[in-house]
Order: sequence, then C-alpha cells, then structure tokens
Amino acid sequence: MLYLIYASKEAAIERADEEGKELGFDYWIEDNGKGTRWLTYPNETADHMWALDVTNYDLDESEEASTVDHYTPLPDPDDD
Amino acid sequence: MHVSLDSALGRQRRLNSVGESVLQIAPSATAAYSLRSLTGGDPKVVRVRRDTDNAEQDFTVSGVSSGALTSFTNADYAKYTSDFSSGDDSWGSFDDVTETGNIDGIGGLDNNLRLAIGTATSGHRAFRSNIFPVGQKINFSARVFIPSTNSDVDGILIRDANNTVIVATTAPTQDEWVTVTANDVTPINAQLRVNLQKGAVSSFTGNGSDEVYLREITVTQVTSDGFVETWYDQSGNSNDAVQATAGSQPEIVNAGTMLNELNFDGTDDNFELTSVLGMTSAGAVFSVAKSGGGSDKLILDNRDSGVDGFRLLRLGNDLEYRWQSATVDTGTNLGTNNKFIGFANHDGSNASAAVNGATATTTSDTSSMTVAAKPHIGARSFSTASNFWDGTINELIIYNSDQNANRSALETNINSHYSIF
Repeated sequence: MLYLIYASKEAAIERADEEGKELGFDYWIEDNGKGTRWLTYPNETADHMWALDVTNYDLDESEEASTVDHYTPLPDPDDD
Repeated sequence: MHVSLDSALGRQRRLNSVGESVLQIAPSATAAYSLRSLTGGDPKVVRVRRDTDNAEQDFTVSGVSSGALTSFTNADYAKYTSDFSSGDDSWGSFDDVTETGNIDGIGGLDNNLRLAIGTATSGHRAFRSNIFPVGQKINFSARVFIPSTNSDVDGILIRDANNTVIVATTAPTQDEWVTVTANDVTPINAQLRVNLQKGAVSSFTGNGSDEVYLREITVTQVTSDGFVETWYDQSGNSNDAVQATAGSQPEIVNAGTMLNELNFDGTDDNFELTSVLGMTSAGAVFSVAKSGGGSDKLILDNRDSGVDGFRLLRLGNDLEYRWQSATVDTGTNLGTNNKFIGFANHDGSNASAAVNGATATTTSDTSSMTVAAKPHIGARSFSTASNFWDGTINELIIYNSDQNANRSALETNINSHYSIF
C-alpha cells in the first residue's frame, strides 16, 4: 500500500476529490451530491496527520516521491 | 389468515398472514434494509456502481430480481482498442521481435503494427500490458495479416502472461486481413502476448526477415463487479445507508454473478446511515447475515463512544448484543459462512438476543441512551471506522421500540424467504 500524509483532513480530502473527479465518479458527474465521491478516504494517524491510501491513484512525480508504505493509525479508543 | 390465538388476543403474533410483508406485520420500523420488498410494493433498494466505468444506477426490488441490475453491471465495456496511427501504442516485445507502429499500405490498409522476427533460437513474442481485466470475461478481436513472402512464420498464438489461451494457434490465409476472435474468455493476467509461430511451434530459430501485421485489436469486457453505494431505507424514514468511498463499498455482483446479498470484505467495507436512530430506552434489530469468521466484528453499531449506545456483533464465535453496559451473549456459534437470523431486543427492562428463532438469552437492564453519532452497518460508528464485518448481510430491520411481541411473526416471515432454519 502507498500513502500520502497530509497535515489536515481537508487537504487529504481535496486530493481524494481530485482523484474522484479524474475517475469520473457519479458524485462529480451528476452534480447532485449523490453517488460515489472518492476512491479512498483519509484516516487519522497517531500523530494527528491524515493518511490517504493512494495505491491506485494516478500520482505525479512529486507525489510519487512523497509516498510512504505504512503509517501508524490513531489508537483505538477504549471499548467497553 | 394464519394468526394465532395469542395474536387474536392482542398479546403476541405467532405467524404472519400469507403474503404479509415485514412492514405490514410491524409497521413502525425506524430503518429497514434488504434486497427484497419489506413493504409489499416495489421499493428502491440499492444504488449500484459498476467497476468498469464507475457508472451508477438505482434499482428497485424488481430490478434486482429481474436481472436488470446484473445486466447493468455487465454492460459491454471497451477495455482496449488499439491505435497504431502514431506509434506502437505501448506494445513491447520479448526475445528477438521488433514492434513498429504506423505501418501503412499493408493489404490496402494504413496504421498497422508490424512484428518483425529476428534470428534468435527461442520464442518470438510481442506484448501489450494492462489490456485484460483480470478475472473478468472478455470478448477479443483482432485482424492479422501474414505476407506470403514469409518463409517460416505462418501463424500466431495469443495468450495472457499466465498462458491462458485467448486465440489458439491459427495459421490465417496469407496476403489478406483475417479476423481472429474469442468470446467469454477469462484472463488471469492483464498482459496480452502474441507468439509468432512456425508450423504451430513457438520456439524456433528466426530467419531475420519474416513479419506479421496486426490491427483493430479490441478487448471488450463483458462481466464486471458491482458495488453498493446506497442501501435504501424501506421504512419511509429515508435513513439510507451510504458509502461514498468506492474502496469501502460492499459487493453485490462478483465477476458478473449476482450475489443476491451484500458482501463485506472485512477490511474496510461499511455503510454510514444518513441520520441518527434516536433510540432511547427500547429497540430491536432483526438481521440476516453470514459471518466469514473473526472476532469483534460489527453487523450494526449505534454508539457515539465506547459506552453509550448499542451494537450487534460477532464476538468470539457467538452473536452478541451489547446495550450500554449490558452484555447478551447468545451462546450460539455463528460458524463460518452459515446464514443466520439474528434478533436483538431491549424492552426497557431487559436486553435479549437470539439466533435462528431460539429462546432468547436475556439480561436485566434498565439503562437508556442518547446517541449523537450516525450508526454504521458493518463497522464501528465512532472515532475511526474499524471492527469491519467479514461476511454478508442480506437484511437489517431496526425498531426504536420493543418487538418481542412481533418477533415470532417477523422471524417466520424472514425465514420463509431465506429458508435458514
């Protein structure tokens, strides 16, 4: 798996949106807020950054150079 | 009418009437999801995304059962169409073959791909990557021209990189364009390979001069996977279960085959409901599912923290219902890939749960909840989604009220449809 790490959730979603548009997901075609919007959605990391799975994304050279192959997810909250 | 004396007395319904729907038996559902009609009509049940081109469409119960959903998913998709007008269209070669695009004037046609053999004693192959949808059926077509000036090369063999035969050895008529086709082949590798052959043999010493020409190569994908973007609520409350992330959508059509259930991959597949349930001191859940195994796997989670709310899950081997701090272990091993009806209920004083119509396990509990988070089907509903359901879910009916009185009738209705026990 390949991930890009973002400082904010908004920035990660912006990249996910860009890929969703590129893939022609229905959310972007119908323009009615319905349908698939993203290929992947960011997850929060242990250090409160946001990891986006970009394994199947069309990355530019700069992005390719910035990918990491793992991240530490936010620890699970206490369960009962 | 097949209504018991208990029902006639207004205490408990043992059987549902012939043809009566779930929501006619117990109309006050808070949310209800299925691929069959729970209303008695022909409600919209799913919005499906097909994997080939990401197109989406809504389907009603009759659209699912008639095959319209499957046909939508398996609509022909042009996976590859060659274009040699400006080069070799990303074709490559192994061994001693040289590939060249944009070759004009072959058999009266321009813009062809030429495969020229070298002098090696080996196979003589050309390839094109990313041409086949792995695991899906395809139709294949290509036009081949073999000149009569060839002294050795008289045929071709077309396979994928795992040797799945697409077009078996063929020696077309020379000096004319011949169309070769294959239908309903399932490649197991995405790369197409063309072997130049001499007398149906692939490995021989090349003469350094023979050529083969190709054009109009098409790969049409005729099966696909289909994924559920929305599982529509049939209760009338429009509390649809939605997954806007393609990678987290449960599957409903696999390689062209309708599953007739939603398959959750246990990795990230789940739905978020559109709104909160508003459940407080009583509630019930009827589910039809199949577990692929694992522990701490959620069918339905309605919590906004580790302690506020309820969940229905597989813990260890058993179906378990947790309401606030009350735990009800049904003691029923769900096994692996066995379809079951799960029942969970809170009547304000007791939490109870059971599998396949068995006597419910009950725990005394009078707690109530105020859950601000939207419930999730197949994953945790607070913090980050996790504890993903690994298996299938056919049906999920949720009430914000005690349903002990309707349990038998509802389970009879469900079992009549699914024949589980």
